[in-house]
Amino acid sequence: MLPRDPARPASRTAPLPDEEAVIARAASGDRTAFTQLIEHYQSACYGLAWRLLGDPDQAADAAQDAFVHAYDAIAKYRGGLFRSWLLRITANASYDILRRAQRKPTTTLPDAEEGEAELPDRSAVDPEAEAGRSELYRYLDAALRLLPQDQRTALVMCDVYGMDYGEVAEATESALGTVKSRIHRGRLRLRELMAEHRELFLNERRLDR
Amino acid sequence: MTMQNAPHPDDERLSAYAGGDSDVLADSSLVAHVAACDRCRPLVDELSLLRDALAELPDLASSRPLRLIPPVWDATPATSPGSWLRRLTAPAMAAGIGLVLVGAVGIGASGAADLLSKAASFDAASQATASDREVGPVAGADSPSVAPTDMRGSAGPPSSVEPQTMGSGTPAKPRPTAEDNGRTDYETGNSSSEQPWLTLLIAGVGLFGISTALRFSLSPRAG
Repeated sequence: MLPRDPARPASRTAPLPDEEAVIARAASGDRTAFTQLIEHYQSACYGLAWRLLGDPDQAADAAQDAFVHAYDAIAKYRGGLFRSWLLRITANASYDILRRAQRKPTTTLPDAEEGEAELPDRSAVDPEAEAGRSELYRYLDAALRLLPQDQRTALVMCDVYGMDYGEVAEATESALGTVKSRIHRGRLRLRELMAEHRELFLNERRLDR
Repeated sequence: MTMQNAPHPDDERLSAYAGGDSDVLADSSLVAHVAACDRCRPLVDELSLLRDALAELPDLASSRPLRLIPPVWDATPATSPGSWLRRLTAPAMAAGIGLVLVGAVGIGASGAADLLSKAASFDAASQATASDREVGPVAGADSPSVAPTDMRGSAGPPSSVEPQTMGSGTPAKPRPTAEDNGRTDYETGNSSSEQPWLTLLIAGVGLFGISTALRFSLSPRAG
């Protein structure tokens, strides 16, 4: 079978109805329009930062850093999906924080060595997880946090937020081949981590296999 | 169908296949293998479904309110028409202060030089007067109308500045009286040598004032 190319689900923030006009106003210096855009996409940015960093405070800092960068750069925005543009900025801001955190060993990130990671039970899943999320999403987020950091970063950027290999390589300052390898190894490792919950996974996906 | 003898592709290549990588999809032998292999096909299917599920992970709301625009940016519109002009005011103010300082130092220095030259002319005049008393007027005395007792009014040494020609450029003016001669020489010479410095000082004050006024008039309003 050929791999599917899924459409973005409704649970993700959809574009504003008059987004192009709002962007144009924001690009010409209208702070209200910019605030409207950021307010609309803040949960997308925060979600990406949280999944990359694994810490609510760092994620909030990264999102706010991204908003500043976006405000600085919006006059140079040249079309395309605004959500993707903003997420790329957020990924860069998150990765900056990640690098700074790596220089300070006291601020440890939830990183696990391959082979040692185990899925926590449901009560151990991060309390920030929204009540409305399905059990599958909770376990997926928990499993992502157990991936080695480089694999998690690449996999979250690529598979969760739809960045292509080149964008991930640019954001993480890594070679394209390295990024591909991290994504594929991360995907395989995530499958192993989800093995115990495969039934849940298959049920949620409503597979008729 | 099971492919007992065919070697299985590397799992990372199967992940790339599940991810839709074009170079892997172009590998017809791999595509054929996956389609026929009971080990590889379920793996690719599962990885594809996993990828689909990851792409559906919902956005997350922060538990704390996020600051959408930091205050420092909130106060300054990115494309404010006067922002570039306002940025120029700081160096202009600094240049104004610099001109004022240079002008003040120049005025001070020229004043001191004039005082020194006046002191020197005073000494020379004293000596000349003493000589006059002994041998009478000598060539080189600037004005025959100068009273011998007026020491200040006597001509200075040849090296002294001749302010009448430097300053106003009106040598045809009537000669001042002996009493006024020394004072006029001194004052005219002083303003003449200080004039460029005074101009600098005034220009500096003006530049500073204008740039300060611009800076405040172009500063962003609160809120």
